[in-house]
Amino acid sequence: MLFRQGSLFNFRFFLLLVLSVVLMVVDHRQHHLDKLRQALTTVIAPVQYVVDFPVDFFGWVTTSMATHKALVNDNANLRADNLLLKAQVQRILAVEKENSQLRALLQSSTKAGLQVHVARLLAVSTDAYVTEVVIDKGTNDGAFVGQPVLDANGVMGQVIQTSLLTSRVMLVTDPRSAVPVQDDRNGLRAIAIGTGAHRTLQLADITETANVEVGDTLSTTGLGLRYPSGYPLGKVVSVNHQPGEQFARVKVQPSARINQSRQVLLVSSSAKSLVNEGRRQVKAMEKSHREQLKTQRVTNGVRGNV
Amino acid sequence: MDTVQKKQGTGWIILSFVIALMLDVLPLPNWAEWFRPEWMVMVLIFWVLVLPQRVNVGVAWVVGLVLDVVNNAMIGEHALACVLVAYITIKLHRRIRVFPMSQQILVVLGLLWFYQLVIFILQGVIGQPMNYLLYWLPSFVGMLLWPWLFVILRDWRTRFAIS
Repeated sequence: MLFRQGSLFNFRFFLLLVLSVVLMVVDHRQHHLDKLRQALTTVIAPVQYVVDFPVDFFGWVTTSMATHKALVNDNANLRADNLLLKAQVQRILAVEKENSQLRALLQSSTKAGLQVHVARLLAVSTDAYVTEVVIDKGTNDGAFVGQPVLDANGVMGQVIQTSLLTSRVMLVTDPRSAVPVQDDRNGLRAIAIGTGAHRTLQLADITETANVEVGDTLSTTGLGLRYPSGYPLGKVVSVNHQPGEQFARVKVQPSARINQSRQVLLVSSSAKSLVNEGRRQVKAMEKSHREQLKTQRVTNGVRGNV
Repeated sequence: MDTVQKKQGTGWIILSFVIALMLDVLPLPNWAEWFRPEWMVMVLIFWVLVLPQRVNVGVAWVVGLVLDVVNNAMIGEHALACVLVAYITIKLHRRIRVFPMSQQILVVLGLLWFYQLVIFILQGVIGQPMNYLLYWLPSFVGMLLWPWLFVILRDWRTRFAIS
């Protein structure tokens, strides 16, 4: 039967081959197939939820089987934490107020408050280079492509693909990810690029003479118009000066608990306000840069005269 | 002519693919990710071997599309690889069927390796090469698991009278 219909079979084979290649080209060149991908992802979402279920279920069982004593302990700890955090919030509120006053003095408006939604990671892994995760919020819950994702400790990544029920998050450790950051100690700006390796990012184009030290903390600047500014990204763990090379190798460990967090925060400040905030920062930096140049020129001039 | 043969057990075939898909996305510890065989492709090879008149390049293409979406790859990438693997399997299925298991697993290794090679080339073309030697490990794991998968799916087939 098969061999009798050989020509038809070969025709189908070539048709599918050509179709695959056309799909690939269209998908890679343009993004016309996003709707198709979204639909297929929505179809597959139930499978992902089913796979996630046992993990979720065991978590639930262990919580409900926890002993009374453990719960009392937990409760006490949480109360203590809460008190501490509340105290810290008091301080932060004061600082924020002061900050907004200072900004008012500088004639720039205050930062827009950020709205966050809590999402849960689905226990679904897709490949060995674990630089993407799937979360249980989709377009149904207002997730959108480019949405920044944080966890309790810092910046985690951004949404790169959405479907009705789930979204895919690219972590900051992904080689495609680049986050504009700033050294908290001296304000040095840099770009943190993922390496694909676990818990490691690299700072791009840090000159040999740049003032970066091990232990420096980095936070986002918001200059990429993607991540909100002022969130911690990570800590410098090693600075490697190589003789004969133009740039230093700076390794950064992300402060977000990339492969431990189960709960993440989806930030949904309007994209417009982020853009405005970013523009404002760029302008301010250009201004300070110009002034710097001016003073440099002046000092150079002085030196020239001497 | 064997056109009198009835098509039975479509649901069971689909279920076997769904279970394979689950095994493909099941969370594993990081070190174990490298050992995860291509379950969907292996199940595909099995059905193409035993039921080439039902499960052929069309089914392979759909399976590939699902893999594309699950792996967030270019749409068509895994589909192309699956269609090629299914085509070769169909062309060879009469010979592979009479092979003893020791030779069969070598053929399966070749097919899985070819599948990975296609993906490897396509990833290279779009500029995201998989430059890891460990990338080729799943083929070997798949080869070692093939005898068990074969027996399980053969039982699955006779139990649910899939033909």
